[in-house]
Amino acid sequence: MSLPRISIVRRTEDIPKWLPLVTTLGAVVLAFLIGAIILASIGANPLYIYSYFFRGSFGSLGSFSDVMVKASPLILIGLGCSLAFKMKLWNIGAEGQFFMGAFMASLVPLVPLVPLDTTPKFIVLLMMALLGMIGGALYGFIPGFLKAKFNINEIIVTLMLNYIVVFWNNYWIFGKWSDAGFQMTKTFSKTAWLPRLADYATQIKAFSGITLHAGVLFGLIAALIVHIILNHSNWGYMINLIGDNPRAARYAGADIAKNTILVFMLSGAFAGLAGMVEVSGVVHRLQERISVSYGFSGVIVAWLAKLNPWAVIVVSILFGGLIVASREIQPSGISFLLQGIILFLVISSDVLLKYKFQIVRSGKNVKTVNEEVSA
Amino acid sequence: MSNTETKATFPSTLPSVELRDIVLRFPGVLANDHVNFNMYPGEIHALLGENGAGKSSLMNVLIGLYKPTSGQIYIHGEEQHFNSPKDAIAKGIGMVHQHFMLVQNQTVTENIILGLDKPRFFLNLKKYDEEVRALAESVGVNIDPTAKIWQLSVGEQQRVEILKILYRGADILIMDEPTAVLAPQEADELIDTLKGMAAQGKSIAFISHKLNEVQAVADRLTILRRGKVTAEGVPVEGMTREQLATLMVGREVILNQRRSDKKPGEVILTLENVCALNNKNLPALHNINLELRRGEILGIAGVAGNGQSELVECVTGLRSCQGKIILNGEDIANKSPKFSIAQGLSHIPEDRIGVGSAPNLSITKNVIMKNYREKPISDHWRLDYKAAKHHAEELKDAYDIMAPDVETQARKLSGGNLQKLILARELSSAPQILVAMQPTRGLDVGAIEGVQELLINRRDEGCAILLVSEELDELMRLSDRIAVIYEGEIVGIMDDDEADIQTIGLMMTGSLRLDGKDKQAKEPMPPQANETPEEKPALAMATPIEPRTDEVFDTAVEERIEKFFEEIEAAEPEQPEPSPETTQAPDRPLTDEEEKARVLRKVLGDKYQEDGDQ
Repeated sequence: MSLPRISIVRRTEDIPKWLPLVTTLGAVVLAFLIGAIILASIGANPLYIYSYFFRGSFGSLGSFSDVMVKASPLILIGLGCSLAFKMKLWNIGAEGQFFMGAFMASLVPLVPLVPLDTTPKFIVLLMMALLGMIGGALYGFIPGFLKAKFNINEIIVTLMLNYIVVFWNNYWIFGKWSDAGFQMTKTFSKTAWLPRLADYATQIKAFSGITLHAGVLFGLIAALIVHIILNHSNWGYMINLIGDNPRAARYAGADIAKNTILVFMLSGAFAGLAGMVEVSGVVHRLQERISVSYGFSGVIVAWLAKLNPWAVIVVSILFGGLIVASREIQPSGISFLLQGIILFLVISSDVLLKYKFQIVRSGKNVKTVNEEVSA
Repeated sequence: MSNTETKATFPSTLPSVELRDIVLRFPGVLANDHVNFNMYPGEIHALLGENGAGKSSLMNVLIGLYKPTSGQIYIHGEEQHFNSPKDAIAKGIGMVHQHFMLVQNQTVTENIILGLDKPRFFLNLKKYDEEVRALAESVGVNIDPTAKIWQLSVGEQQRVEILKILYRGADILIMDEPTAVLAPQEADELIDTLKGMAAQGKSIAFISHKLNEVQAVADRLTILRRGKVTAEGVPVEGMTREQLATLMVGREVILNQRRSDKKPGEVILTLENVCALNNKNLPALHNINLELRRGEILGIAGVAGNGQSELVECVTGLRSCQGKIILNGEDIANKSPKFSIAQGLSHIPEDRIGVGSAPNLSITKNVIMKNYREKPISDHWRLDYKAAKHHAEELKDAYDIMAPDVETQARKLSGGNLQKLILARELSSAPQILVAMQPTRGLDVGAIEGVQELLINRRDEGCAILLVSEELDELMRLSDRIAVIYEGEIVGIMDDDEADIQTIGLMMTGSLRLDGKDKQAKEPMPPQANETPEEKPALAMATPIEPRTDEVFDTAVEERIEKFFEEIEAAEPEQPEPSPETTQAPDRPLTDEEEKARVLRKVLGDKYQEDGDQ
């Protein structure tokens, strides 16, 4: 046994604080490299494609604003999922909660709940946001309640609820509110539109054609709120505790059933708000396709961000970029391919946090890679 | 069998295991500092040391789990470089861990051959059953190879683990605190088995904290303290327990402690007719009546599984029950744990990792588990982590929790330090009443002493303590009164001066009752033959009760418990005046031997049936 070989050893010491960031970024870079190899193998020039990608999504103010528009619902959904995942509640029903939020928010302009000509825009939007959150929260209440009371698996419940709400929406879109037989409602009155930068093009020229809407602010505020909840509040501490060891939490006096329902509702409320943002800020009507599987991408975003609210924003922007870039490139599947590779590698990179790789030479003492680096 | 005999019996004077100058360094910790250790064939070699002294690390080096920083390993005289446990197994080294690694739904044989290459495609289980049976007989172990693991008692499962290693041809066995999970009788059986295997030439390393066991089982011993050897391969004979304890902890350990000389104060906790079901929805507690006073330690003695866990869970609000539990005039039965915590009740749970701590959270987040809603750590909704950290640092110093800092995750603490963390949390709130279950289990002598000292100090400050322990020595040493629990009933309460180990032992095993409801005396008993039939009706009645959902559970508890006990009573007609004389004399006086045999069978018999019942 004269050749050095690599052995894998479980880490016994604490990992340095910078390591998770490095492995995650490394995984993303590696994902693009693998993507490049695949692109090259089908005869394309990866460098050209990537630069096109980049220019298409971050190259100009206009394209970056498109990225942020796509990122806004992802941020909100990712935050909601982070909160639930912190308590080990596997809410993969964000897609359904998103649709329910969109539906409830749409009630305001479609019914209409208030006279749209006379009510101030601010009030209309506030009502839509509130109803969107209530819709998502109610839709989160169902799995939360079933989990808390009867210990029914929340993964199955949330997954199934996703399908139900799509058909619920279809009933209204195809039937009652159909716009001249099309599978969509008529466009909302302008009062129910979230303000966009383009609306101010008359004052500031550069804003003309920029679609970025106020919904992105909701995302930033929500990130701050989640950050405060998780890191600076009693409730966040309890969520952490229940997530890590529910038996210890119960022993310490936590009401697990109540918190399961509350966290599920808040998680749903964020997704519901994302639904409101999308109908009021982008599509301006309720229709069948309002989501490019935001609900499911949000789950991935939360996971990639390791449940850190600020990281959720960064990852959402990256994903938004990939979504926008997919418009620029044919076949558009390439961007989904990259998403898949990134997810796979980032999750795999956790191995580096739990194990370290040692180079073993026969007859010599073991030297760790880390030691070699620091030496 | 002493060391010299060993060498005489087995001509090779080559040690089977020799660890030379082992140094094992983790970042910031020197786990083993130039440790020497050797074992000869046919020897039981005890490895003693406090928690974190480096015993497990050393043995993990031997089984190839850790690679030593420096030092050599010789097996039968040949130097080895183990890269994985597989290499060590190939050299005949096997370890029985504290936590068994068995597949519950498979048979003994299936578990033993699991992972081997041999039955390639067709699983001729019968053939392997025979092999396992023969192997078991050869080492004097009694086990049914076709039994499923879940049907076995803990002691039997441990035997399966041992057989698993022997089947792989091991002649060097490492037992990691093997008796920690066993009932006393099972421990005795294990010691016999180990001695039998040693007589056949196997080398056995026996890791333990319990000095009396080490004296009973080992030929020689090696003691580690803070990673260094303080006694290397010393013959056990001629060492006193005090000497051993000193070598382990480096100072004289007071093995005897006194009880309170103050009179206990007023009653703080009263249990009235408390009944409860266990996790299998079978009655676990029946009409428990207890009183606990300020400034006293009330010990609960009993063989594990007689309702102690359920009793503690009822008092601490973790389990629903019938009856009244009055703390400071408030009925806390069926209230949430939050309520009893607010009433000044602290709880040291039996399961430190599963219940007492959140393993992935920091020490800080673990110590504020119960007071995080209070000032100064919390201000309305806000949690001040600076204040929390300050609080944690104070407790870390005051309770001597050994960790790099308060941000260390709880799961990285050793058993003793984790228990210190829990004690720090539970005692620093100045509780009025403390419920402690097995507070010293698995700890080393020094830590046990520390924990007991803390309990006594609290008691002297007026705290009422309910102490549940399976260590009779500990109960006798600490308790002001001792209550004995047997099959979910308190069968007697004694003051410390009337309590002696023999009486308590008889009561724990159901042979004696002091509460005037002696069941044993009720029927004429030609003991041996009728023993099993007497037990069976109770269980037969218990099984038809179907598991129900929680909601039904709440309403039906009382009804079902009543029904259950009515049926028992119908089966065993009450005798009006049970007298102490009839207690131990069924219809003819039993000899001591018979009495002992009966008691043993009863204890273990119950356990077997209970396990098989699920």
